[in-house]
Amino acid sequence: MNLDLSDDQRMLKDSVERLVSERYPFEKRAEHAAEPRGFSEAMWEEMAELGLTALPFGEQLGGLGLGGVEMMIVGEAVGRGLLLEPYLSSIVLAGTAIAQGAEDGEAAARLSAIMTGETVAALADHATITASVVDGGVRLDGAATMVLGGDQAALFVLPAGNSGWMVSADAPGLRVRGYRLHGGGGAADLTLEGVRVGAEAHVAVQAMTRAIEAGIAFLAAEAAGATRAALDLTVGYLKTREQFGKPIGSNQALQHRAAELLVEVEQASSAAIYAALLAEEYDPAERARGTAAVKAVIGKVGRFVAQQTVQLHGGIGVSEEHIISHYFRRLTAIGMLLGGTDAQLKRLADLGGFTRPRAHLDLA
Amino acid sequence: MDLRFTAEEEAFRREVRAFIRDNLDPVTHRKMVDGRVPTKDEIVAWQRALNRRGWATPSWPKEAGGPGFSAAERYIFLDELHQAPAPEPLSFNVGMIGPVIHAFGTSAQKERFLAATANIDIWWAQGFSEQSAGSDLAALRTTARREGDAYVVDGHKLWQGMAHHADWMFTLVRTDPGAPKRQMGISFLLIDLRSPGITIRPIVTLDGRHEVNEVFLDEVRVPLDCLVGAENAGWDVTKFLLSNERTGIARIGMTKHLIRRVKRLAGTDEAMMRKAAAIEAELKILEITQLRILDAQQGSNTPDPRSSVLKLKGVELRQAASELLLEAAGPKALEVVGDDEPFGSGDDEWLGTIMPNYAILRAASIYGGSSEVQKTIVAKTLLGLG
Repeated sequence: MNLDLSDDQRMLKDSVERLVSERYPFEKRAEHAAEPRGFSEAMWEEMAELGLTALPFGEQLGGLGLGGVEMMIVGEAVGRGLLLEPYLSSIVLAGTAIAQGAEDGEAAARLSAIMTGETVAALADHATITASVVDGGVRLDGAATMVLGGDQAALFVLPAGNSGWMVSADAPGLRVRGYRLHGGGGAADLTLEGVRVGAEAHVAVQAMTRAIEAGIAFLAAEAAGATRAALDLTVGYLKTREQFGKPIGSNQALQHRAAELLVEVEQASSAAIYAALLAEEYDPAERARGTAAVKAVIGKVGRFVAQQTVQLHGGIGVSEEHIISHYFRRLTAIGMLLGGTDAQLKRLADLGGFTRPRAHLDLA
Repeated sequence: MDLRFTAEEEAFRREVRAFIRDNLDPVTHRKMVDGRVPTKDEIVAWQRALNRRGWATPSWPKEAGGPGFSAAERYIFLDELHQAPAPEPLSFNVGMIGPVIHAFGTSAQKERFLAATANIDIWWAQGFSEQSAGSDLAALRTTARREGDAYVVDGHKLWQGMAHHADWMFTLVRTDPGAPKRQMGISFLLIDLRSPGITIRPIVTLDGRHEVNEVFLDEVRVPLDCLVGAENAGWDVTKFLLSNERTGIARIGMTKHLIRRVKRLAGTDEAMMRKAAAIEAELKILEITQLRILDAQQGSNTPDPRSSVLKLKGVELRQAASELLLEAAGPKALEVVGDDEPFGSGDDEWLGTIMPNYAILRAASIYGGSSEVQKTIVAKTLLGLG
């Protein structure tokens, strides 16, 4: 057991944090959101220049071949800075599916444009699409909803039957209705009518699962970063805001609430670490259980921290101009994306949970 | 980063599990599985079995006669006991007074008490709380005045867990009522419970059982060589003891055992399994928090203030699991059944203890620093509030 970051990981953390704090102060965020694509093109380019967009992909695909811990480091900074860029949708979700599920040559070709940031890709986790074999290829019909990052995507990875398929946004028969999301970023609803793809567009179904798991791990890191930042701000506010002639943080009711928040924020950090290390777990059942637990916990923690940090800020906490109200929205969204808390708990229960009913001493 | 234990640590886990399987008396084990309270003899027999193996005092360093476990080994050892479940080494002896005598005792005291404490040749009771001194321990009123070769102790102590089994009691007494600060007039005394002037009375708790007691001390003469640390310096000794009590073990394995019982009782009920999953999800993540603190503690002896975080969440989940077990058992759990009723057939879940154990577990957020005290500690030490 060793929970220290390596020297390289510490350097990555420093440079990502510096990028976010220098380039992405909260005052700029509204401007970025108002840009035509809903995020900062300049920031997106810088993330690519730093290599962040190449981080999780194997070296044979032109990537850096780094792992879950490095992704967690990026995710925490993204969560703290409330970044709007399509890192989760394009790099983590669609990128992982393509890197691990497409044939190598095809994956390298698609990823080269994704890693430069030129192509934004998106993956659907909720879809009802049928795939039928037709002469010389496959025909896709159906619909997908809430495809994260889909409003800006040029390439989609869509589940159909027991596979995934890469589909260009301009493919004939595909209609895309994009929209913005509360909490930042955008998504799209898709309809497919006779969309044709070739065998080279095939993505293995296990890679679709790995992509969702990587997405949840990234959301956990975002939640860890955002909850820690929201707590830091709140504790600072409790120390400086005065009412009745003394700092409000001298009231025991508020001190205890802050302590309860720290307990939950530590849980969020633990969830992020656990999720990062699950990326290296080889047993799919263990990964499935772990991922369900991680998502359920960050959903619950995120909602508690969102609600209570707004509460402790009082009136200013509900204003658009205060960052705490943005953490509130992002944390709420994180809890609901890629499977909400109730769905994850049902899944964990269906998988039998972590403890078996048999007596412990009977276990080998 | 790596959360996995080393191959040696995994082998150690298997060794501990096998040891428990081969050495824990089957009747004691069945009682632990059922949530019944083992007898004094059963607890002592188990501790002595551990002691023969060199494992009775997992938190003690080698020079105190302990096994010299690393932080990870200590965690694994206790986790296996909690999950088995087997009795923990007697906390008054092993978690509290042993380390105090090792750190503050004279060489004569170490010689006299350490080995006997590890083997429970002496069973210790804790004499801290009083009627007006609970969370505010420094408000204690029991006094000791020097008279020749002895202290003469007068007062009343409350909540002595298993003191009816005990031979000795480590006790906080006020030796200087005029000290400028209350904490500066307190001393730490070891008192032989067979001394004249001592009366131990049972307190029956909300589970209907007798586990805690009150102890009356009426002109009890305590030899001067039973003082630990300097006179009036007992508060430092106490802080050391309490910080050991908080060195971060969330007793996750005990909660796992409760969840196992829920599954055995209600494994086909989907709503119950959903609630079990909600506890298990948080428990799994708490295990990571536990390992993070453990990792930070490797090679350091100072307690991590985040241990309070661990205690708060650990107790919350354990109480939630015991509440779920009560729900899983249903109204049949209300039938009053004595702990000494004969065992049922091998595979039956014993419902008789579920309600009493649910009830007494409310105390877990009260003793060892109540959850409210823990929150104040967290706010002050970790968040800088107040």
